[in-house]
Amino acid sequence: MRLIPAQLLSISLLVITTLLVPNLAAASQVLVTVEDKNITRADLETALASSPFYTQFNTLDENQQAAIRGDMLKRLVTARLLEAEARRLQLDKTPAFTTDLSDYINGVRYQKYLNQLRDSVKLSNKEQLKLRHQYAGSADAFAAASASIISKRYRALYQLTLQKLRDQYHVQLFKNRINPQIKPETVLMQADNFQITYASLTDNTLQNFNKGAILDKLFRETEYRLISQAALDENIDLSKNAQQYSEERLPALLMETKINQWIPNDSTLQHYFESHPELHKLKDRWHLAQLVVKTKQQAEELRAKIINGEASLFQLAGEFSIDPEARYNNGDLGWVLQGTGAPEIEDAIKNLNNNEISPVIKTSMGYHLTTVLDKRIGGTQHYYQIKDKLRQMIINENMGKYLAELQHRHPVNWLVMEQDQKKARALLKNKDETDH
Amino acid sequence: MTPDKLKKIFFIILAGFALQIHAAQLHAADAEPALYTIELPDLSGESHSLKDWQGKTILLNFWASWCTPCQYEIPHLINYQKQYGENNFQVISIGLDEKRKLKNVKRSLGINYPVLVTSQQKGADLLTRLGNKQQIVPYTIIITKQGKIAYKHLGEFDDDAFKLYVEPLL
Repeated sequence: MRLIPAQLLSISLLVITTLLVPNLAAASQVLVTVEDKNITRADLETALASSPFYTQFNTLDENQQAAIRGDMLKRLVTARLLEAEARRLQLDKTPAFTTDLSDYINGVRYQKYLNQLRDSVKLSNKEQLKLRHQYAGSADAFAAASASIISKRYRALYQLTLQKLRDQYHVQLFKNRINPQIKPETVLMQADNFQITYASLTDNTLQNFNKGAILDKLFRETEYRLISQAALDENIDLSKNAQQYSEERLPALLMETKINQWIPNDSTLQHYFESHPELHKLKDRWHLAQLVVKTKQQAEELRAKIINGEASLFQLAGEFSIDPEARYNNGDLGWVLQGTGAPEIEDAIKNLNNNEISPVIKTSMGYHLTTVLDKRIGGTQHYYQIKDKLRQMIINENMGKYLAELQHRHPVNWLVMEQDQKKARALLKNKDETDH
Repeated sequence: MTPDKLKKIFFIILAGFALQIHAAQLHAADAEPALYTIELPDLSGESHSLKDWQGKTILLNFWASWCTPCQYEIPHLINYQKQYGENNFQVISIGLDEKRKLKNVKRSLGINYPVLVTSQQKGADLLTRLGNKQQIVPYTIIITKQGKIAYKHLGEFDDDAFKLYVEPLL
């Protein structure tokens, strides 16, 4: 089953019951395909586990988790759609991308080599045991003591490795060429397969010539190049890193391009602000508390109790309110924005002083007693106050349309929805059979 | 006697009392706690004391749902229970948190050992009594089959500590 774009976009909160419980045995199960790319259960769980709210995620109820899984899945689909489109537009062939990718891969290669070096430094079993006993009971103290010894040994090993690499690649440094007559093409370091020129060390002109600073840069760059070359010679496989980088960078690159198209300059924001007068006014806000009951008589009786000081509205709301949420919060509704509450209540509270109890108000829900705990009177919002918000609003407006367009171009197959519907049908069937 | 002098004497007496109380607390904290008298409800409300698992080697783990290192070590504890449960070994955890959150973490991570519940305040008192004066979680105590504390571990519990302090007791 393929969802048409409008359907996908109308699912503001995608709650997928199939995903209620993470099924580790089915980690490779494909949930959605975007063109020829699969999004698996494992991809979804990895995305969740690497999110900053993962600890809190585990504390949520099943249906809240299912909603978050659905939301995360939608984000993954969006990212894959943007990636597919970025590739169609050949953004992966642009220098902006290829240069970044190559810098990134060089950085990762360098870091992996150093990590391998660090990992090769280990404490012997005897040393570990000694430290364990010395710092028994404190994981942090044991970790700090081990790290301190390892770090000392690593520094020594690093210096030894550098010396070995200098000999291996026949490094020659030309410190005496660092003088005020230096030219951009002057070679300051020569090794077997690579060299460092003055230009590659600095884009600075010779205006602020500083021999010490140049020497410092030369040593650091030599170290970096030596390690990078050694890592390159070791043929460390970085294809996964490159793929991961493309998956993250290409959608971002396309988004930057699109946002520049949608908002080429500040006058777009200014125009949006001027054509949306409703954004100029900041609405009134009230911090409200209320109780709702079924009959007018009960509301009047409770009101009398509050006025006579026999009980507070909060106590009575916690006990008698027919609105379960209000009952749970002892009547506290939080901050309510003008125009979002029942009109009968808004009319009644307009002239209330703080902490004054309203007369009984009738709405379709029942009979209310309301009080204003605090109020913030709205006013005029200036363009500069909401510039960032305007930017986000324009992006959101365009993003919906753009994603719909992308789904036409790059087919999205929501396999998980199919499984979900099957499961729902099976549940219904079971229920029917039990009912009969 | 002037009121000022009276005040001074009063404060000296009060300080003396405070010192005595403090000394008594220290003495109580230093004493070997009566482990088997700890009694707490599990997630379904059923009350348990550590006596229920008397005769087993117990790994008693204190945790909270908001504590990230606690969540990191849970898969290890699950594994120990799975691997050594038949060797008279039992992981028991005490969650210092809301029951609903603890229940959800138990379901989400597939915890296969009992989770007992206490409030943050009562849990903090219990931690102090059991030698964790900073009241930090995670905190793990290894109890021998004879009911003696063999080892106390502040911070994330790890496989090396298990090998060193638990395996010899099994």
